[in-house]
Amino acid sequence: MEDTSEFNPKVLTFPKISDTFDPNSIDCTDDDNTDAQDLQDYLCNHALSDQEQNMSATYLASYENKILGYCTVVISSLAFKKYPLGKPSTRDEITNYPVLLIANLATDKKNRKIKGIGSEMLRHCVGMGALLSDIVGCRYVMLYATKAEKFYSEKNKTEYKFFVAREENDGRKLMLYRIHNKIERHLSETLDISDSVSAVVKKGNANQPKPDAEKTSWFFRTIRRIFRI
Amino acid sequence: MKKTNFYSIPTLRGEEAKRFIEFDSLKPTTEELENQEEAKQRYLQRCEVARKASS
Repeated sequence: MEDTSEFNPKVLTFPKISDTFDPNSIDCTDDDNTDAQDLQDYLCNHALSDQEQNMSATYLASYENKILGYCTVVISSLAFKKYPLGKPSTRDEITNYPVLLIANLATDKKNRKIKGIGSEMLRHCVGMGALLSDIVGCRYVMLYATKAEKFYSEKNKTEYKFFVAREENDGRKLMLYRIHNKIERHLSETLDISDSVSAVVKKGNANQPKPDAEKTSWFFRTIRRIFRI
Repeated sequence: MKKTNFYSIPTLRGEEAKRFIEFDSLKPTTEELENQEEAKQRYLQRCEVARKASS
């Protein structure tokens, strides 16, 4: 792209990769021409065939009929030990959460000076994750970062701040972005109301009859049973 | 990320799991929710544009 000053990320489109696309038309290798993360290799040798087998989906970042980068996404899972400091039972030792994995996210070397391509690809993936959470359930957007950790974890780099969950032995960092559902949004809005409104709500709640917890408690049930009342 | 790692499921244990559980229970800020909603709406708009272009 010649003029980088007029780049408008909103105009980017994200068609899926197809056999009409020549993967060699872009270069996603590192600045030192190595392909340590296999980003170019994946695009050239696996992206299309994986997609045809429903093993992944690769989206090309297209701007004015030019491809500026690509991202590959996969449905995945995150497991964690629910009780990290104890072991109440073996059954619920490991819990799994559904996640959308950003397997690859790369920008064409010629266009790396243009700010906003990576952020927009990330926004595209987060939007996809948010939509998935409405349809099938998706709690996190997950990725492995190598050199671009700061891009994902610093808020001034992107609007979507990722949490570093752990560092792998090879230096990659497992990063997570939480998708929130509508119920939580509603709760959050309730919590954000002003103090005066909160006071009214509290006052209203105070006038509400208390739940009949006492009536159903073990103690009262036992008393009733003994005295047959 | 190597292709072989696409389908392996990471498991968080010990201190990592503890930190994760704490993170998981954090309430989002209004700004974060707005950003997320914007991302979803933009994704949907792109889907709509692509659908119209293909029909």
